[in-house]
Amino acid sequence: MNRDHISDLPDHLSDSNQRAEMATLGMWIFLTTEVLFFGALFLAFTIYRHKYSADFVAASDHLNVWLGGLNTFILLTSSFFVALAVAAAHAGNRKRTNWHLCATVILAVIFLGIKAIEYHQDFTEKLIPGRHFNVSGTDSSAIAHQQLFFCFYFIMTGIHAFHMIAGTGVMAWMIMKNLRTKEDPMTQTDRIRVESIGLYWHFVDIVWVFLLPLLYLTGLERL
Amino acid sequence: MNESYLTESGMGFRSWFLTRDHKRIAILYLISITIFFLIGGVAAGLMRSELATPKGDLVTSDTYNRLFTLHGVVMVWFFLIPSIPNVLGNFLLPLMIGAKDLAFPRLNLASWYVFMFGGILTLWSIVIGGVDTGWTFYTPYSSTYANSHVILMATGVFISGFSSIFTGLNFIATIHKMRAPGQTWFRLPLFVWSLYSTSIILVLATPVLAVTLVLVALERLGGVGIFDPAIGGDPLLFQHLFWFYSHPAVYIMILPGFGVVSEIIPCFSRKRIFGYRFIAFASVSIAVLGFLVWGHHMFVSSQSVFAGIVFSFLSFMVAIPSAIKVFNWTTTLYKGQITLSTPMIYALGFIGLFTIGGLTGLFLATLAVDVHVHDTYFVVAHFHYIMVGGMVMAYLGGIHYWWPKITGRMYPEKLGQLSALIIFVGFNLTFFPQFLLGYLGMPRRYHAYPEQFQMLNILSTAGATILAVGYLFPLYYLPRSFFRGPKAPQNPWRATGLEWTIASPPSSHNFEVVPTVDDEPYNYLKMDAVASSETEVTP
Amino acid sequence: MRFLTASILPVEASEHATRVDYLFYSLLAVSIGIVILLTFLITYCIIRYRAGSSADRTPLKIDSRKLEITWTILPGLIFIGIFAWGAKLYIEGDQSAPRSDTVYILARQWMWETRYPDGRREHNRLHLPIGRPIQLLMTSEDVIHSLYLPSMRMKQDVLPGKYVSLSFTPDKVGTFPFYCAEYCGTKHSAMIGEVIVMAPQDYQKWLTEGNQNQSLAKQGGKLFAEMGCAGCHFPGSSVHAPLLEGIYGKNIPLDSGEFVTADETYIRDSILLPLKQIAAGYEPLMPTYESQLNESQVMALIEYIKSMKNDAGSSHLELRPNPPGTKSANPDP
Repeated sequence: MNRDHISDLPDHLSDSNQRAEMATLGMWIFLTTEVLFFGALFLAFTIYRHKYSADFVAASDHLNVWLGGLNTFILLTSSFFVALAVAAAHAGNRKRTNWHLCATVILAVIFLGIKAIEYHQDFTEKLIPGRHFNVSGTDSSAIAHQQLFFCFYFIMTGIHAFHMIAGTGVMAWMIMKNLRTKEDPMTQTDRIRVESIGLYWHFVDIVWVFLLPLLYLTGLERL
Repeated sequence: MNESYLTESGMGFRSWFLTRDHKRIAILYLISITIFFLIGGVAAGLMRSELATPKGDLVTSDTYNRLFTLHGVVMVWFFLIPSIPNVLGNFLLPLMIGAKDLAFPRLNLASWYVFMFGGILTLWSIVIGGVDTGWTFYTPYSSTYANSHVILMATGVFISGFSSIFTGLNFIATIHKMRAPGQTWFRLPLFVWSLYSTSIILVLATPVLAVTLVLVALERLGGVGIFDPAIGGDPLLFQHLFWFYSHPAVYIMILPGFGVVSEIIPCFSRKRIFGYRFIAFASVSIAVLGFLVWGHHMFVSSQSVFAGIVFSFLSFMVAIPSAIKVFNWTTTLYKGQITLSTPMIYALGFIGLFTIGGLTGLFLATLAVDVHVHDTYFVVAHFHYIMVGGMVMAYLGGIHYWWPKITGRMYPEKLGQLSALIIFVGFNLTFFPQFLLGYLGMPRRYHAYPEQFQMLNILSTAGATILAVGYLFPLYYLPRSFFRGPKAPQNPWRATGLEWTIASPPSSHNFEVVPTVDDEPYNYLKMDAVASSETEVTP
Repeated sequence: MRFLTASILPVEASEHATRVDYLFYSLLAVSIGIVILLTFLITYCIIRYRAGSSADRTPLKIDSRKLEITWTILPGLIFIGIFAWGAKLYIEGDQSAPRSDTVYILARQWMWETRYPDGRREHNRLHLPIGRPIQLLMTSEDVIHSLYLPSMRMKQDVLPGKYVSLSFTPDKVGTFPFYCAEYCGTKHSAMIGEVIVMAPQDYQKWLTEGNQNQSLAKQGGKLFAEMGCAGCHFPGSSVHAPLLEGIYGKNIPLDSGEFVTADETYIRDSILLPLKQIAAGYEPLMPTYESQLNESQVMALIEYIKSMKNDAGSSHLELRPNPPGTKSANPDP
């Protein structure tokens, strides 16, 4: 029944398949809650996007599509590496898993760095909502609605970045743990961990794939 | 005497606060939510005292506004939502399905810590000055105008939301993957079905509340945000998001009660429950339909007439599964062998009060009537009939029913029956006058009120006193019985269910051998037949 | 004694209130019926089937599925009936009578300001004539409030940044309370007032006596001139701006291709947030008056614009002649 040579089953479980299935199910349920979390934001955005269409397009023009696009490319590549890490973990190869996880973390850090540069640009262009918010425009309501767009922009990308930081932290922890552990092949627990990390990272990636058209590509309507 | 989960790993600090045993975590929850219940109860007592006279003379209006916010927030998020799921559910779910623990024991402990952290932040916000927005946090009042610690309290509630999510996730994974051999879905006790439905709501609704509170807190923090009318934001959007969570949350606060009652009634009627599958599916359909009726909180908010009609219709639809349950419970009594033990009195009280709460829910779902009684004491009375008359009665019934299993001791039966009756009478006296007040037009959240409402308010305050006394009884005799009560046998009620096949209190790992299930639940006829044949053999 | 009579029978001061009560009491009868039935059944079972009683317990041969279907369908049908009745009343209550009198209400923390078309204004009191359909047009200056008239069985949330309306016809002379029903802060429970329903002749007398103000529309006309609105909104203007005669209630085509009804909210937004909805065929030139006008002044302007009648009933606004209110216009915006 127990296919693994190295058994590290907690004593409340009888079967390692049961545990693997359970962990995956748990992760999927967690991701469902995340979908609802971002879903509410997307819904709210969509309502306003429809209501103040022109102003949101104008506001979106202020964003740097090239940096956004570059970040998309980086994030998708990181997803590719995490998929490789999961495959390596399934094969039980701790070393290869670690290399792929490292690649993922590096790409994630680059993504966050570019995001920080973007935020800095937004700051110098006075795009932060609040008293100092300033976009060109004669009409105060248009300015107000652009400010609303930037509220969404910062909340959505901020929460996304927070998810990335959390994921990067977990991956860094996994890498450290792998470095300290000598035993090869990987234990089942660690395989499940890497697989859960993979699921989570793909989710973070998908959220960005939605954010890019909603926030950045909206402005392209004018081109 | 075998070691139990209470003694096995000692009574040290670490053995409790770092435990992964679902039973010990349930005890941690039991103690914490009892404390929260007392805090919320004191706030309610102060409010009722203030309302004994029409003038606002006991506390200032600002204090009063903080009291009802405190009462709502603490009772909803820190007592009602965790009450049955996290205390009884935590304790019983693995026992009922023949498992050694929940799917993720460490997550279970984490959920308690997260819950307490959220709770302490909330209490802290109260200590440093309180919050005056009401538990509903309506914008733009909460985001711009309120002059109180909204961010801190919203953070507290936000954090405790993760506890809900962890619990829901844990329960779903456990029910799916850890049932004993032979325990098919339709051999699950109905309590497990109700926990399953509750968990679906916990998992799907809580994130929406979380993001809504984040948006309010950010708006307050930054002075600008997406609900702000000044930049074109829509305050009604907040209400939509809030009620998308909070209406399903109402079902979080009643579905587990249905489950408890479905366990108690067959046991004290010595009969198989009537319409098992209908009750099970009713729970699931309530969970699903509960997501589609949030707009009935907004009939007078200037949402469109069309939306009002759709939400009204769906609200009537959600009443059908509730009605099915009540009819099935009543039919279960027919031709039974009924004993009026304390849990049974609570369960029958539940049916009565829930029926009144449900029927007045129909008044509120009826558009033209709701326009009149919305945001009046009619609404207050209605949801207290569901939340207190329903959920708290079921919770107390469940606590008494499983007390022998949890503690290994019997509670004093006569005292239990007496306090159940006092609570029933006190409850009705407190909240029934509020229906009349509401129909006469007294708005809720009023610190002072016109004189003509005084008579009914005095009745309500008097009732609250009786209710409070009723609650003090179990607070006294239950802890006492834990130390001094007579030892409980393994199955004092001769009840069916896996939890009654093991010792009271159970050992740390619950089952010595993995049990197998080969029969439908609630087969009391078979159980009693076996018992009587045994007594014949050994006179 | 006084609170006994008040406690038992709530006052009905409009036809709608009577209809709502009729529905309410019918619902009450159904509910009491169900409660009595259940109480009887449960009590009967408890007594007859108490443990150890000698009652016959041979299982009944009934088709449980038929029973389940019965008690699913039967309440379902009753529920749908009640729903339809409630929805019908709700829709009827929502429609304002075509020739109703308008009173403006401005809610702020923590008082109600009522403004009558003839210019009279008061606080926390609402005078109404008996037997005439009334439309209340309401907005809030700060948070969400809710106007609650228990004697009319009417309630409507009052939101900032938006006009909402509430219509009813009082049919009883007397003084009735109204409340704020949406929690709005410290003095929420003090945000209450009185509706005074009067005989028509008394109402006329009340309207004229002690009123030093010009009519609301006139006040609006004055503002229209002072703020320089007429500088653009007149036919000879060099600025291409829509003319406003008869615009109220029209379906306006928007730049975005949609249509919007020119109601109070639209006019308010056009003054304060002009770029929110641009009428088709116009440049977005209108400046905002957000910082110059308060809600109270906007109310007067709305009433003025509503009063600008389009005598010929033409839908082509550009062709209308100069309105009287623009004579003294300052052409410099």
